[in-house]
Amino acid sequence: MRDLPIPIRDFILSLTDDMLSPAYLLVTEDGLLIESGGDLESYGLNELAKNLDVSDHIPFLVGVLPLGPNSLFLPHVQTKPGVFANVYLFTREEGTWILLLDTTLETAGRQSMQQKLYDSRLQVKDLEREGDALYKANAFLEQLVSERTAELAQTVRQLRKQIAELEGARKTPPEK
Amino acid sequence: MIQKKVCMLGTFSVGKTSLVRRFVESIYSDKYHTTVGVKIDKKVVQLDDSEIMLILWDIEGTESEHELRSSYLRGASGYLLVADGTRQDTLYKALALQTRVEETVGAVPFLLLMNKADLSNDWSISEREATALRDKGWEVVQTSAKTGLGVEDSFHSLAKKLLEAK
Repeated sequence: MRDLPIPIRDFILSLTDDMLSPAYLLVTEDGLLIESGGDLESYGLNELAKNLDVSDHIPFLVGVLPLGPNSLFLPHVQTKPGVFANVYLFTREEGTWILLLDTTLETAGRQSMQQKLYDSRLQVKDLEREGDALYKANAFLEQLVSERTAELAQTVRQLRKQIAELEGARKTPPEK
Repeated sequence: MIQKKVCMLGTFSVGKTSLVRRFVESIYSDKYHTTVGVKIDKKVVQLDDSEIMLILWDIEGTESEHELRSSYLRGASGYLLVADGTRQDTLYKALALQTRVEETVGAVPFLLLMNKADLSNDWSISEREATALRDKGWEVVQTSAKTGLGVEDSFHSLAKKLLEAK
């Protein structure tokens, strides 16, 4: 933001504050809390005392710490029912910073779109399954029809043969 | 108490969230709600002479293993791979996911759950396929989040494996 004039930077900061409810934790490599601040309460993170092992109180940090020199981004983490945050972790000299930015609205929007997409995929799957069942039923019916047709043709042939025999017998004059 | 992170993995609509809800809250709903991001729950599992807290990461289902965010897997001690027994392709996607997960977190304990066992008429995964996986040493379990079949046992079995692997 080096090239941006101060009013713009202030506006962006204010916008971030209003829309993203920033909150942070600073922890040691072992996960002990050094300091915390911002709108932690909106994420359901209350009563965090200094030197507390954050993994014991914040489930999404279990297994994640120590972070080492890397950074980590965990998008759309539900921190309490109905509240989602993008969680950023990065290490500096003073410890590991954990930044939470609210993403509840964005998550809800994505959820709605994804729901429609997956619902339609499942419908397509159901239709394919029904189509397969119909195809199999149709093939079975066709086989039945062809078997019955063959049987009928055979019966007709036998009947014709019998009729011909009967007619032949009727035309032949009885021997005297 | 020992805490272990467990990831629920599988493609969309295989029943990962329903399995967690069944296990944690003993609740089941027929309505499908897709998960975005990750929902985290926890439950203490009592084993013979110890207890363990499972931190369950219910991760959004992806269509392919490449879409899975590896950051979600960081620190996972184990995972439950979930397939929908009525959709054969979900098994193949679970197999691809397993390879991806093992590349990311290593050979940690896992189980393969073939969910929706209550829909036996629509079942499309053959016993031969399940047997082939068991022959590879995999623990493959038929589950139903709807009836509860195999759910408790699966989480307990994984918890036991996690303690053994400790």
